[in-house]
Amino acid sequence: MSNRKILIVEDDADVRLGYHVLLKSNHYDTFFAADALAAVSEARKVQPDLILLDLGLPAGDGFVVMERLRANIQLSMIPVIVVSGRDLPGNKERALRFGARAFLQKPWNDDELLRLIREFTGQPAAAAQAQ
Amino acid sequence: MIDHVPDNSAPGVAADVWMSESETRRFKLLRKYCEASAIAVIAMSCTVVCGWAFRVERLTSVFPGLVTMKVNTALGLGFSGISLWLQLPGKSLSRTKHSAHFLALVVVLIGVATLAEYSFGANLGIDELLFSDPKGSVGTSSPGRPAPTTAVAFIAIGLALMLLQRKTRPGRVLAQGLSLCSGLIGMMAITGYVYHASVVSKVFLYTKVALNAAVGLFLLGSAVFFARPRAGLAGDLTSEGAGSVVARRFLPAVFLIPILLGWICLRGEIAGMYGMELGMALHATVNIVVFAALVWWNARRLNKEYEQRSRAEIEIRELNAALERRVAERTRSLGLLTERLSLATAIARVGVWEWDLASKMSIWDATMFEIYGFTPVVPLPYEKWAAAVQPEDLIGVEETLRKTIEEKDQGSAEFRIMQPDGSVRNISVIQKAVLDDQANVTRLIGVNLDITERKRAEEALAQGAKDQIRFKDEFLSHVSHELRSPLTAIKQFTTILLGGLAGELSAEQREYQQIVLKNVRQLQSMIDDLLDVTRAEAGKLGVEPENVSVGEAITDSLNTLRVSAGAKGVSLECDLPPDLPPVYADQTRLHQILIILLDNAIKFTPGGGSVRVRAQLPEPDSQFVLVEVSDNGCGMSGEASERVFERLFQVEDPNQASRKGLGLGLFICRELVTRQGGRIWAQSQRGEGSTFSFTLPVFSLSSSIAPLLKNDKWPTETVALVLTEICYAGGKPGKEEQGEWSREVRELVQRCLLPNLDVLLPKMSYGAEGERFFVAAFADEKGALVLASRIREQFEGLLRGRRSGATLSVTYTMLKPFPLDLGASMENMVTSMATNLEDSIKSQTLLEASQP
Repeated sequence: MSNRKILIVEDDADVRLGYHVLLKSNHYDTFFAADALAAVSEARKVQPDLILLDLGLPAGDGFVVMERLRANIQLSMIPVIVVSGRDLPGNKERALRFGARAFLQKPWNDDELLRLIREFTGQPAAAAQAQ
Repeated sequence: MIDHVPDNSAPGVAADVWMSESETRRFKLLRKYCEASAIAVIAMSCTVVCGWAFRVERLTSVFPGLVTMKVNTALGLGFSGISLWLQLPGKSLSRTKHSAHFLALVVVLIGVATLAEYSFGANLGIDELLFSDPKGSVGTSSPGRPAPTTAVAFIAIGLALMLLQRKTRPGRVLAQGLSLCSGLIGMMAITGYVYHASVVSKVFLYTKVALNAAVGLFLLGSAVFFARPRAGLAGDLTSEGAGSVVARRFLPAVFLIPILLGWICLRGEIAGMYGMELGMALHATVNIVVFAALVWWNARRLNKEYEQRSRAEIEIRELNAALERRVAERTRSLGLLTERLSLATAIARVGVWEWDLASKMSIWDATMFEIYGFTPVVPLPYEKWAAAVQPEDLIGVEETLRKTIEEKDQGSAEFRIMQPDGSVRNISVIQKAVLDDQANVTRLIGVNLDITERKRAEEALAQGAKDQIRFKDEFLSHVSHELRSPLTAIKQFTTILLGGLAGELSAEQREYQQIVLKNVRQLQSMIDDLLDVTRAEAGKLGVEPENVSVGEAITDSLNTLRVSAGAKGVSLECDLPPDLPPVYADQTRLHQILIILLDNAIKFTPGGGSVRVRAQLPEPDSQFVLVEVSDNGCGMSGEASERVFERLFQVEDPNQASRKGLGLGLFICRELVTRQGGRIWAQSQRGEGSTFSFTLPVFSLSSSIAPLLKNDKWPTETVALVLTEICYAGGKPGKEEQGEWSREVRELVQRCLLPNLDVLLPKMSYGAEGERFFVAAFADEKGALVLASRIREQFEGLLRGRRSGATLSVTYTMLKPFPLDLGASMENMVTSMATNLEDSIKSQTLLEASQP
């Protein structure tokens, strides 16, 4: 069974690297996009199993990305986890309404993030552990 | 002046001449005297004529043996009397003027004719025209002929009567002089009778004046003299002047005393008590003495009066001076006041106006015209003002004006006007109703204030405040985001290092990395606090209450903090009664409150101490659950325990080892608890530890759903309680997934409801393997069936997109029908329906519980 593919949409290079180290060591393949435009084209190209999405992005925010993903029949089924540092009231509700499966506040808890990823990529906890 | 008094107006009646009371009385008396004299004379002449006609001598001569009054004398007296009567003031003169004149002329003619007879020794045959006079009558030269003095008197009186209508002063004086002549003639004759001066009369061969004729002439003369009492010579006697007063005092004496004294002296002489020379000397001396006494008495009275008058004059002068001083003072202070007021209104740009309700005209002061930019017009029509007011404001201002008039009170309004040059100004008006004697509103008086600058400043200030708040919110939101990104990176790599993903760490490295991680967490919670405070101030601190188990929230919070408490050596204890009812609160916020309180308690408790959480119902059927977090740490002063919930409040920490926070945690706690309908307080004693207590309302289905049920029109009289229950396949999923299911099913159910009518009730409880959603559907049984099948269909669609499975069951119960129009208030209906629903839900839940 090949590794699950995770697309990381994040404009901060350090945070991207942090994701990469964490996810790589947990046997995920990582792909990156630094802005809203790249996010959609990368998703189309890579067809990831899950997307980690930041809300504050250059060239359109995370909501725009979710809208574009939902408009595409192939991409609309990819689970999205929003990881945001922008804490406006109602952002969480709005993100969920836009189709996100979960909302995490930066800085997140690694264990919780990994659990959510496993859940949404359809890996039972035990299976992920075995890999 | 006196000459212009209208003659036909009775003295004392003339309203246009002011007279004192005594003057009025005097004139009245004189008029009466004139009238009485005229009547007396007329009566006398009638009597005499009758006496001649019936040959009764007593009637013509009064005393037997005295000279008789001749017929012509009687006629002359009678005509004069009538003429006088006709010409007395107050008689309608215009018609009788000519007859009065004619009669006077006849009198003159009688006199002239008689005199002519005497002068030329002729008999014109007029003496015995009516009745014959027996020859040799007493004191009569020619039978029936009046005495020559009488004739003279007739000429005088006749002329006087003819002149009576003259309104010039010479005419008046002449008339009065003539009447005096006739009066004096009469008087002389009377005096003669008094002194028995028959000798005198016999010297001449003239007819003697009869006694009654003498009296008649005297009466007539004096009456004619006083017929115009205010004019000419009579005026000098009748006025209020000092001269007149003196004259009035003297005249009677002047008339009577010499006559009386003369008579007494004469009697003495006749009785042979003294000779004529001595008699004359006596007469003169007594006269002198009597008149001197009279003069002295008069002088004394005058002096006294003069004294009184001068004293009164001085008093009046003083009063006048005082009055003038007061008037001057008042005028000066009024002037000052007016000046101050107008200066103040001008400086403050306060325009003063007055509006007359009847004429709808206004009077404005200069400032008003300045404010409106009008050229001054007095008075100003209402329409001109109304045209200047902005149309959308006019209705409101007119309304307050109307109200002020109706309530007879005062009012105020604000409005905008447009000046002739098109610039708009804000005006504030205050007006007061002015009442007349009958308490009717006749005018409004008020002020206008140009408040344009103030309005602009206020708007700018409000805008500034709004901008500032928005800027602060944006700033904090931005800062928090920007702070979180680097924090995220720090935390990421610290955890990576700690996780050994970059190679194994030494024990020391691991410890240091733990310290970094701990500080990151602190920083993170500070940022969260900062954002919460901003929201609390903006009133945007979101609270979504639902049915929450306090016990669960406490256990969760204790689990979160167990590690850090353990690290410090603080033990955590918990006291939860098993039958604690759920509360109506926001689960996340309750968790937040508990974490803040517990975190504080741990922070201020030294190692080896303990923190204890207790939840209870203070009384068996209390509406609130009480939660207490107590520690046995350092405690704080009474004042501090009151102020501890203030923003940025910091307790001086004797335990310097632990770091201070932002001082926002307890402030946020208070906001959150209050917002959820509870109360929070602290009890503490220095060195004895602290107890923080808060309450939250017990969850009551009826009270929480009552507000949702309000609706103006329900289509049916029945309510269906629809229960949608979801059961997860393969046991209870993770919290995140459970939350997701919950949210999705909730949205699904909401989509199937009739908008603005059916109500999805708040979450009641967490089921063990699933979740329940209750709907109050305003439908009959058929409608409930349709709703149930719609929810099921929707769920099939939802299930297709999910990886983990779940099953859904939809059931419904019909509630008791409720009366739609029973006159019951909305409140009552809603409350009873809510209770009804609650009972129904409880019975279902119990049913479930009883069949495991």
